[in-house]
Amino acid sequence: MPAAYVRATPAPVLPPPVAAGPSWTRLLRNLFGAPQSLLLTVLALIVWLVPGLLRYFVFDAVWHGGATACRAANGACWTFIGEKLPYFIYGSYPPDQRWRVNLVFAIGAGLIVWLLAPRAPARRLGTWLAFLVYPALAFVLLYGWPALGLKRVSSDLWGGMLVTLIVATFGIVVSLPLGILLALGRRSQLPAVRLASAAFIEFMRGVPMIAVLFMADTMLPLFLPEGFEPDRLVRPLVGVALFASAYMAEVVRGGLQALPKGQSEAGKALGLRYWGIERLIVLPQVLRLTIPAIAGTFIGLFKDTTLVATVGIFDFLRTVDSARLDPNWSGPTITTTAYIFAALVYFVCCFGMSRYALGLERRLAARYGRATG
Amino acid sequence: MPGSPIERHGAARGALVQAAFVLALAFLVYEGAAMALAHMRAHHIPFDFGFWDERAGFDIDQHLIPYSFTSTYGRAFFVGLTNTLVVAAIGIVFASLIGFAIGAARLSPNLIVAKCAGAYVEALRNVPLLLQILFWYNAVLKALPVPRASLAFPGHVFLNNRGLFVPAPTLSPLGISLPVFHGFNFAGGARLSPEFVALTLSLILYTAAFIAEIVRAGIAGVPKGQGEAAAALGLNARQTRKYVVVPQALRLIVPPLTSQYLNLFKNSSLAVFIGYPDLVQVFAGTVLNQTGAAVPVIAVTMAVYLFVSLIVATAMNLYNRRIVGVAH
Amino acid sequence: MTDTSMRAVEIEHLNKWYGAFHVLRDINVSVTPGERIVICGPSGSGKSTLIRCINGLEDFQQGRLAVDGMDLTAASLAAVRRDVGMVFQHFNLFSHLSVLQNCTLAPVEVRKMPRRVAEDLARHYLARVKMADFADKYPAQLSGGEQQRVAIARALCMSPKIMLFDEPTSALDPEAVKDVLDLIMTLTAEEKTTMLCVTHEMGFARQVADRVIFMAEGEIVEINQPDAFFTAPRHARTKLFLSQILR
Repeated sequence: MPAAYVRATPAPVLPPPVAAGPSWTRLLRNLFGAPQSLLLTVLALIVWLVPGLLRYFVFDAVWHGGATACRAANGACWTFIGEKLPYFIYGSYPPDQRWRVNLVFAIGAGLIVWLLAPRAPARRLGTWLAFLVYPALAFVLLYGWPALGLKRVSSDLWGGMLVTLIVATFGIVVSLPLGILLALGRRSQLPAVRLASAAFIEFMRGVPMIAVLFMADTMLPLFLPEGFEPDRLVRPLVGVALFASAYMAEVVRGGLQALPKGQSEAGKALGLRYWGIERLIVLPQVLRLTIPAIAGTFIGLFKDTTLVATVGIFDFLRTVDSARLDPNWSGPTITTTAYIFAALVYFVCCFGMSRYALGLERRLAARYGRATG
Repeated sequence: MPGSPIERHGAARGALVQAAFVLALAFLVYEGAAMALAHMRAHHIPFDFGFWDERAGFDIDQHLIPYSFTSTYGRAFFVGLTNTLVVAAIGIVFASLIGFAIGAARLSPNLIVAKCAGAYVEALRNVPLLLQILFWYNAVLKALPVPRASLAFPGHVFLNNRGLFVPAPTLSPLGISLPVFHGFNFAGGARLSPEFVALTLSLILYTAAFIAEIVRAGIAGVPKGQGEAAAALGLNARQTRKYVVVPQALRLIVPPLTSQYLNLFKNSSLAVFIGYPDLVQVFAGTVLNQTGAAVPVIAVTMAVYLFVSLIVATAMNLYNRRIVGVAH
Repeated sequence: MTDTSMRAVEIEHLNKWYGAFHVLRDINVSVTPGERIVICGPSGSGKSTLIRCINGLEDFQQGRLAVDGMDLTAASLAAVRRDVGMVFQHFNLFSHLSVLQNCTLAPVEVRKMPRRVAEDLARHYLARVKMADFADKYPAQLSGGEQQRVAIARALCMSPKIMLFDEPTSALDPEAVKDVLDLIMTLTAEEKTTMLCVTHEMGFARQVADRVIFMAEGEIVEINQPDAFFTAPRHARTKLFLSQILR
């Protein structure tokens, strides 16, 4: 090789050699290069599991026929689900008034699509509608207002997915702003505010939610004036919301700590005061930073709605669990079918939420850049 | 004391806001307490611990320490507490074992293993724990065969619809007692009720899914350059894992891991739903119902959980400062 | 005919693709033992990728690469890495180990050296990079320049025949750059190690290099002795590059 060298013609830019084809060979190498026994165990598991599952849930399952058909069933009893579905959705809400619930669902779904769709117009108007007008509207429709011709329906009759959605939505809507306030309070310069916020947060995070629900259920009436009996649904609503805001507060606090101090310093230099800085500069960035953690908290809250059954509220899981004990339906597979159905519903909701959050995070990162400033 | 006039003005305003806040809070607390006391006096609801030494009058199915229906409410408290601790201890150990295994499996170069582990994590994390507990209890354990036709496992372990029967150590005479089928049931050994098995099993599987995710994130969180430097120095894959990746991954894993341990401890309170006599079920459930002493009972229950949480949080802070603080 | 056992590094017609992107194009280089090479070029030219191929941190699809007479294969990789040391742009010190432990880890585990012997060796090299007093400190307590000096000592503790430097000073403060470069210059001269250094520091290249390799867009454009390279570049691309960075 000569000591000096000058390239005469540029080297050709070639396509990659086909033999080094990416996915296939790597895939095969990965599948068969692994420790044989581990691979075989997993394959055996799949071979044993999948046909069994298919048989139970599809081929041997009972799709029509009612209670008698399921009495001797070998597979899942889907007809049970079909017949009980209204109960799972509305609880004991009077059937002739269920159009009111459907109206609340439809408007709610529409608002969600409006607010969460990637390129939606007039989002500010939508936010006002969603957070102020819709709750009032939903309350009137669900509870009733005799003057308007809407018969009163006691919350004791509400049940199923209706209740689950109410608890989850209320919890989500309240816990985020309350959590932000608590997080800001915990970082406040004023010792009393800081102490009170920290005490509340640590208390809520240190005890199980069931204890909080018990507390709300038995102790809330004690602290209110005589005769002012809070609705049985309101008590766990308050409990869930307070509980979730403590966890939200920690999530937001983590984001506040991660944001570089320079951001709020720049705000001060521009002449903004405390609330202006927080509202316009710090919080928008912190919320974007903590989207995965916030989504996680929401998903946890959605799963925790099942715990309101402990104070006698008939959420979705409770309706499924009580329906399976119906003496009219007494097949050997009713219980399993009911639980697997409920599990699928929860899985779709929670997994969907986490996927949405992932997509949201990616979209915002593309527009505003990666997290740390 | 801050110097500039601007800062002093801000401090004065802050003190005013703070005083207003404290006054408002004190007023609310005072009013609330007064209201509650009035209520409780009017309805003869006890708010002291007089009930602690009264006879309980109810039986508890599983108890680690001696207990009968003639024992006191105070004793019932300790039975509930020990039952909670047993579930938590066993749950933490096995959830960690399974969680670490699945977390490592998610990073396996073998695609099938990684995807299966991923499916496990996603499936268990997105279904409420209560549903999983109910499933194991109602759909699985209640469907087990009668004692006569028990499922037998190696090591004198038997599973049937009355529970899980395992060998147990005995103190007098010193030795091990084995469960033996006799007549209609098992004699000897120890009986773990179906409630216990369902609760512990679902807690283990559920928490293991979260631990697996923490382990995966911890291992993936070690910067790639660390592995490259180790490789460049001639360390093989095993040595790189052992001396470079795992120690650093553990630093990332330990804090969220202890959070999950705390969660498991708190989640054991779901025992209420299947009647396993843990602290909440026995004390904040049965005892509260029978004595009506809502405030002291709930306060004590909360205090137990808060105490444990605070200890763990303090230990975590010490760990962070001592070990992570040095290396970061 | 060239005798390959005389070559420290021998690269013939090496081609590498990242997916469909042709990252390294027809690379041909031969390095004699003890030779000190500086590789320069615009960013994205493949300089770092090339030296990372030499110790197997990157693989390649076509061509031949031999280190110390051994062809680079899965079997010979371990032996190659024992004799090739690398210093990274971002130091990559093991953050959970002390400075001393960083240096002793590989000699103890790879060369099976007794711990005492390894520690003496480590202290010797730490002294030579002027970091002897920092033996029990942790990387987080060190500045960038200090960390890089430890990284150099760590690599030297394996007594490598060939040292690879991947932009060793690009992440350092200006004051630290000179110290580290001086260190590299002295140590490679004293140990008589073969050196391949990717860097933007042209003054260093002029002082130290036996040859300068200029790369652009994945291919080697020009190789020459430093004086000739900087005063009389022959390829148009080289002239363009030098006009942009030298004022």
